[in-house]
Amino acid sequence: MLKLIGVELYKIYTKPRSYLGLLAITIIVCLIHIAMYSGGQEYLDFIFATFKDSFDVSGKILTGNLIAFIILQMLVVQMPLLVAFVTGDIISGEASGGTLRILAGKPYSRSHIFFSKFIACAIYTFVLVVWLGILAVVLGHLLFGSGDMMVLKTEGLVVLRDGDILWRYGYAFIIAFFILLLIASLAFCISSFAENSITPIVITMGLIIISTVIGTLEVPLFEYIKPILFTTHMIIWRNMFDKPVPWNDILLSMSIVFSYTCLFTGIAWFHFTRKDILT
Amino acid sequence: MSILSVKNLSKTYQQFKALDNLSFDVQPGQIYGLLGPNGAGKSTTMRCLLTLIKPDAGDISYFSKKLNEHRREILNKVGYLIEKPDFYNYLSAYNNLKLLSKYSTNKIEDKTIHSLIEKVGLKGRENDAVKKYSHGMKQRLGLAQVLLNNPDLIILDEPNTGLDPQGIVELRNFIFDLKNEGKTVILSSHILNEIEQLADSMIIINKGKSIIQGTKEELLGENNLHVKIEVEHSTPIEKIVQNTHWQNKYKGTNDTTVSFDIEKKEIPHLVSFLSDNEIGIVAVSYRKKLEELYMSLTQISNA
Amino acid sequence: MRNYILVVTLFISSITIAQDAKEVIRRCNKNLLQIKDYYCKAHIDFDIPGLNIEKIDGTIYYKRPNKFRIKSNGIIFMPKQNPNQILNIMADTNAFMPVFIAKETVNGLVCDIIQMVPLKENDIAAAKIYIDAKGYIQKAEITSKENGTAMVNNKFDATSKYGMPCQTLITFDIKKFKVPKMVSVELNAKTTAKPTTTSTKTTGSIKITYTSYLFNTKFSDTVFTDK
Repeated sequence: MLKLIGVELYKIYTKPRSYLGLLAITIIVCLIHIAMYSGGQEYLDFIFATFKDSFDVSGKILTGNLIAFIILQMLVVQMPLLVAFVTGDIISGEASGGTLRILAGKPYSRSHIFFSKFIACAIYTFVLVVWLGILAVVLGHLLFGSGDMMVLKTEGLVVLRDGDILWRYGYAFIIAFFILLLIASLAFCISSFAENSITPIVITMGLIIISTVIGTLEVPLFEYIKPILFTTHMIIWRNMFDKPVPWNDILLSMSIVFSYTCLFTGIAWFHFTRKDILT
Repeated sequence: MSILSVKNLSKTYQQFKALDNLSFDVQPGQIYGLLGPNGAGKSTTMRCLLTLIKPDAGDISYFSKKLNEHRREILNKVGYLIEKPDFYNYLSAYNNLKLLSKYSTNKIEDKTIHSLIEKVGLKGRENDAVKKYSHGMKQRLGLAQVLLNNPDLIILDEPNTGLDPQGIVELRNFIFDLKNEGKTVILSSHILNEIEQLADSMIIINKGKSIIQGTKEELLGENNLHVKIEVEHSTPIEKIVQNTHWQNKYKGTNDTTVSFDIEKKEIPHLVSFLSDNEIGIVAVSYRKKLEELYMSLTQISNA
Repeated sequence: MRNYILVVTLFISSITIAQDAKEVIRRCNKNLLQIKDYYCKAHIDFDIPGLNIEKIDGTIYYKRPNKFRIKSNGIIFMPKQNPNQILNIMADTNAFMPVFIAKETVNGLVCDIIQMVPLKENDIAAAKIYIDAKGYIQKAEITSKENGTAMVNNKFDATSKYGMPCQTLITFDIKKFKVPKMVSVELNAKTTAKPTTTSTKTTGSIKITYTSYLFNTKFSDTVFTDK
């Protein structure tokens, strides 16, 4: 199995499209850093205007911690796309390229091939998250320095002290990884049905957008389904920056995220191990 | 003991019956030809043999072991090339082979990969990305891939599709070499002449059913040749052969071509008989062609 | 004639009251005006609805006439009506007219309540200062045009010097914060952080505990400008 995981990682490593995700993250994050470095204070004045009317705010606001948080928020839509870009292609790309029929007749079972691909997807997703973390947090700290962090909520503002932040980022990135793994499993699932690379990416992003729209609309009919929409739980990483951390909410959301991941992966496995390879 | 035994293989796609109780056996060391028109079920059969398609019914056994029970062990001894040779285009030929070698349960050495590259004539180009390869070069690479795990049995599905005449000759020689190395080859092709030249045994299938199967000797042997004799002038042969023992063997006249179904040893006697009756003979062709057999059988099957 | 007597009586009594108020202010300023500058350690606790912020330590710097800064390693939210405002009001005798209102017991001490009436255009609409017999400001109510009313409650101990408190509790009006979802990027939010204070509250408070006062050390002005 390890050998096959290595092979799948090698394919991802040598495939040019894998680097598009990393490149896109690098460009987006660097652009945000540059924008914040040049005009961040104006942006923050706008964002925190409602508080500055009532208070004299002293202390450093434009910190690496805050910039990292803003970057994570801005990548709510982009990160799933970048993950789906590679994971949505991992089975269907081989089906359309004709290499799946070469693999499926090899001595290793389809389950071996399936899980080696899935684990490779998970590792790729992890690398994306780690790269995002390095660029957002580490580069953010190098450029803007450390300091307290103001987290804007609909109901107000949370100010986290400098020494109380990095551990939250640690957990937030772990949560973000599992959320993106859910996206990866969704794209992977669709990929096991599709026979071209584009369909899984389009369908995955379509589902995310539709689900997000339903989750955003405050219509009574949708209130019942909101708790079971996977996108409802996609921004649960933000709760790591609440004080106190609502662990119960996070655990509940993570269990739903995990259930969806298992469901999508299970469907994909069931289909992949039984389907006729006709391409 | 057959190296491959297929029993009552059936597969239906929705309403379409792709395979219908198909059975055949392949003996070790043979080149076995699989023939049939488009949609006859050749590719479905090939894919079933490699577990790419799950049959609805039937058994497949290799080396007297059932495929569904000993899949890993069996497929480790099988090499295959199904339809066109597809690879990871962004990788070099060497890296493709290196990567695919990992899917074998045996350890495949680098020197094996290099020797295969040399064997298929890609030496010097092995580090080029496959996307730069012509179809012929990809086909060579496909053959190298087939041999990666030094298989006992090789399955080639339409291997000469898209090859130029030189490529076809090279492929033919390559397959003969495999046979000479003691390997068994199962080959499907649209090019009947290739099968006729290569195969020791064959099966013709149509609509998922076996129409006929046997050794080349049995199917294209000399005991029942369809002989065509081209004569100088259109002549009423019926009258000449009337009341002779040739009467029942006479099959008709088409302008200046006269047809008989006879044994090979009877040809000189027939030629003498016609000469004695002052019929000028221009040419005699007596070879029974696979194409004729194929066409006649598939037409009957379709009817 | 009766009206004339009434007007004269009111004029005389107002002068008397004003003279009493000025006396109280003088008593207070006798302490405060000795301060040219000071700095001290401050421990600040926040209780502000909609603002979840932890206590923080910092250093307060003040220099006459109106330079004031709280320096710390983190973010501090102070209401616009900060303790510095009282010093400014008390020091600027030309801008406000003190009017004696009454006496009231605050923190167990009898205090004179002085209403500071602005004499010229000022954001501060009114300020009510509660000054005890030692001239210490025990309490103050500052009403500004922009930011509502802030209540300042001071505590003093044996070490208190120059009328500076050891603790100040500032209670102030607060507007309800509402940040659009698009700005907070809480689209699809299932759970949002509950504000640490109840959302029905309309006042917030900040408690500042001062220690280690150092007066008139003539420290550099750069502390007010450096980052």
